[in-house]
Amino acid sequence: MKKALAVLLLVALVAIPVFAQGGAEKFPSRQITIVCQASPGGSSDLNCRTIAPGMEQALGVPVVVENRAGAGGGIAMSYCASAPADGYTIAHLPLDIAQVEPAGNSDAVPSDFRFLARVSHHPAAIIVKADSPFQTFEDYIAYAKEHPGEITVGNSGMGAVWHLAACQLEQAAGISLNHIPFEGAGPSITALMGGHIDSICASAAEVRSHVQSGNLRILAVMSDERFPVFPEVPTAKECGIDVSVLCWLAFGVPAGTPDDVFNTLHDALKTSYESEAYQAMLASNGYTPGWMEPEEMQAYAEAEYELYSELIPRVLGYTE
Amino acid sequence: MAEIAVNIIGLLISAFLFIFSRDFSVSTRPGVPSAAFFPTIISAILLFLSILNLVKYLIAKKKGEVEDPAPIEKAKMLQFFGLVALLFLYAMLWYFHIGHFILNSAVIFTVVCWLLSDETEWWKSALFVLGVTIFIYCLFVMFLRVRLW
Amino acid sequence: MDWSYIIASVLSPSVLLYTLGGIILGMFIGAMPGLSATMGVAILLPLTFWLEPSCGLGMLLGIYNSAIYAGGISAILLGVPGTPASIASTFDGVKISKRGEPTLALWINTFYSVIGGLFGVLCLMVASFPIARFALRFGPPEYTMVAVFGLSMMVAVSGKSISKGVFVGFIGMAVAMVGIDPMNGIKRFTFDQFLLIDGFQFVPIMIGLFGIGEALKQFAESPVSHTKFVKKLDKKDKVVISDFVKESKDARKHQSWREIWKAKWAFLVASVISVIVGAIPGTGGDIASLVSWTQCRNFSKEKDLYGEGSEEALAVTCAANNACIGGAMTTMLTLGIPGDSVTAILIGALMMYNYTPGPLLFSEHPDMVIVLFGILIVCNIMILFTGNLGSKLFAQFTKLPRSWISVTIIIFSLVGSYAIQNSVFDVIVCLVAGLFGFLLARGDFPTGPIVLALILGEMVESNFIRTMMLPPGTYSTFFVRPISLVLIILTVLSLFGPSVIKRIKKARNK
Repeated sequence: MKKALAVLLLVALVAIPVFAQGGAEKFPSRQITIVCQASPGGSSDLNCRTIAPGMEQALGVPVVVENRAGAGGGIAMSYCASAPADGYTIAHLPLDIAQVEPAGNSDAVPSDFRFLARVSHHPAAIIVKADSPFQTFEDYIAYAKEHPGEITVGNSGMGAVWHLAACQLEQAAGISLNHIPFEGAGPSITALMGGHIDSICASAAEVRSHVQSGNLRILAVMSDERFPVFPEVPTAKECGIDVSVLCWLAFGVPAGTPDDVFNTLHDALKTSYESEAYQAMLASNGYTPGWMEPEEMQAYAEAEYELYSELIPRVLGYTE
Repeated sequence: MAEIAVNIIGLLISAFLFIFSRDFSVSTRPGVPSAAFFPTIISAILLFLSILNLVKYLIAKKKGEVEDPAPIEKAKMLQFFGLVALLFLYAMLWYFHIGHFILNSAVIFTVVCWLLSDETEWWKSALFVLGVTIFIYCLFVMFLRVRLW
Repeated sequence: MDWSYIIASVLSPSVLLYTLGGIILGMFIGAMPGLSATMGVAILLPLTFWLEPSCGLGMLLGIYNSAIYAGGISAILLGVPGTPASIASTFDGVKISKRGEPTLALWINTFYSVIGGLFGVLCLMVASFPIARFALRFGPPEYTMVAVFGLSMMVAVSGKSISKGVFVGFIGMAVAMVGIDPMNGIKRFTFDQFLLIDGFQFVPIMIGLFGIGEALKQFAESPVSHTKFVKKLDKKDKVVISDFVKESKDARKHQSWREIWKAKWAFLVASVISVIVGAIPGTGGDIASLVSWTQCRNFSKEKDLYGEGSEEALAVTCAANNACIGGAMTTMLTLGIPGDSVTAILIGALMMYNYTPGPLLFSEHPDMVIVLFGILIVCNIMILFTGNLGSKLFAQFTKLPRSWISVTIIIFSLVGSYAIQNSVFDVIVCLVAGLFGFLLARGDFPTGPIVLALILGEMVESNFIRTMMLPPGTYSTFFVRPISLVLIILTVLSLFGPSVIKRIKKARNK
């Protein structure tokens, strides 16, 4: 009796994986995974988790989000770059994909992927406390020119997106700032509100609630067009400083994915992007909807990669 | 034995920290401590404390005041290494994606259970392990939609 | 203010149902080592977008409150903290449970979590603005000193030998040094391995030390199995295994009112500390319960019992991590700044419903604020009932054969460390930490200091260097800022105070 039971059990165990795999004739026939490069709870995770249900409806198979945080997104990107190019692994690719390789966090580069599309973006901004003496962006730049290295500017970590944005501003305006790194953008906003630093360089979307409640002020956004949530805030270009740093969010599949699979996923992504739930998420987080078709996106990402492979080693002081 | 081993590990870590932090001991900004500042301090304190602990231990041993934990029997040691090897085997199977979560866990942990136990019949343990494994699988894969394996 | 709307929002059947659902789910998430409250809330967040605001928030707050509470369940029964916030609950909880009173320990966890949680809500309701404003005054120098204060507790959690405890603590600090350096962006001790760039994850190490280490130790020290020496046990002993639970007396199911009243000061001290720690952005339940445990030990009459299975000590830690929730919510609601990682996600949820946290929330949507308070109170009351029902069930667990308990601990630990970031590397880290934990236990070293150092190591370093980067950039900054100075004095007092008092008493007695 016992032996029979044990044998039965083993058979059942062996059978489970066999049944679970099944055949794969028509794409998609099994679960699709979106690999998110950040841990649960951040803006990247939210982006993935809101896009997934719409894709699930369009494709008719489960679409789940898998978080593989670490090394500034490098872990997830290396993982996706070497995943089989069968369309079952989708990578969430924010701006970081252009930065992880130059920063030495991964060996994945944009050309390892076929971009499905860009879905949204939000610009970098220089933000001060509401009662700061700097009234306009021009004041800020003028003061920084007169007193090099005196203005403290918080960022989300050395070599992270917003630190690089501040460095690009320094370069374009010919000023020098005192960069203070924090463990992410959140703590830097807290320090600014507590008056421990003079300004921060962060996403305009991330601080919008503090700006609306009157605690913080945006001096300028670093983008080509004005930021839709705060149309009254000037862009750096209007103030005579040619700098533009967008943090974009895109999705991609490993390079070499067949065209039919790619097109199926692209259409599903587009359906989900246009859904009400996704647009509502963008609106409530202040992200600008920014659909960009695959070819254009691919070229854009590779241009960004060129830019950062020059900038990052210089900023972080690498000699290699 | 274990006490000496831990202190020696401490000494090794101390040396490791000291040697490898020389690579970045130059500060990137004037007036600000370099990235090697904390590792060096920790290395020094570890060095001091591990030597202190070793000396204390040896003095106490000479005086016969040491209460070493009861030595582990030889048969137990073998079982112990078997257990540890099994756990690492499990991690390796996971790492190389060999087998399936439920299958591997059920088999390996039934053996672990058999190693650990001295009274229950193995098939009862097998059923129990299978139950726990399936519970975890359902919680993660079906409910939280986290992919295991 | 429309009270009928508020009452309808809080007490409507659908809100109550979703809250209850959140609480039951949170219990599983919290009790599983490796699945944290943060993860639970983040994963469930997209599901709540389709719900009414009060239903969605009820569910999320239910998960948050009950996951923090349920972390104590595994801390008590398995000795493995279910969430980092219940690290301190393992010190005493597992000893009470091993003593044969798991039901009592679980009752203490439930009861004090609930009153701690309610205390937090009370602070949130009456004093959220002053608390939040105070919390904002914490800048880099203050954080440095908070962390140093926390690290000074290594001495308190060392047990018998201070030099051993501090030694182990600094091993933890050394481990915390691995990975990208927070201030210069230099990769330290990574040897070009991408997996090491972010350093070692805290949770796998914690689970390994507490879970695997303990399981290995029990195994090594139990008599040899599968030999002729194993004596035949009679049927009764098969059910009740003597090693884990000494005897299944389990007579006391809960504390008497008198015992509860006796712990009132400890409770108050712990709750006040935790509300403040919770309000300070970036510090959460783990630090709150550790600080509370140490400070209450300093004041307690049964000081020597702390760490040996004191009911008061367990009560303090359980109250602390739930009181922390109220504190974390103050900064979130009044300033829109997250007090801990879960509230960071809750901000997103509120935004989704078009309620932007911040001072304006109180003036523009006072109804919503009161609904939130109501939901928090309901959550705690629900935990009281479901918790008491649940603990009778959970307590049965300790009556399983020892090998089954050990195997459950091992499986939960390994799968839990994988779940943090879907990385098998973390599973291996957990195993190695387990082996090291076994060595520590054999050598009679405490494990508490390592955990402290891992939580606080990076905080000390990055804030210290940040202080030096900010003008004026001198060491005197730490002494001229009032909060920082007070923290320095507190650190010195808690380090040397007890021994000085002892000397004075000795001198008097002579």
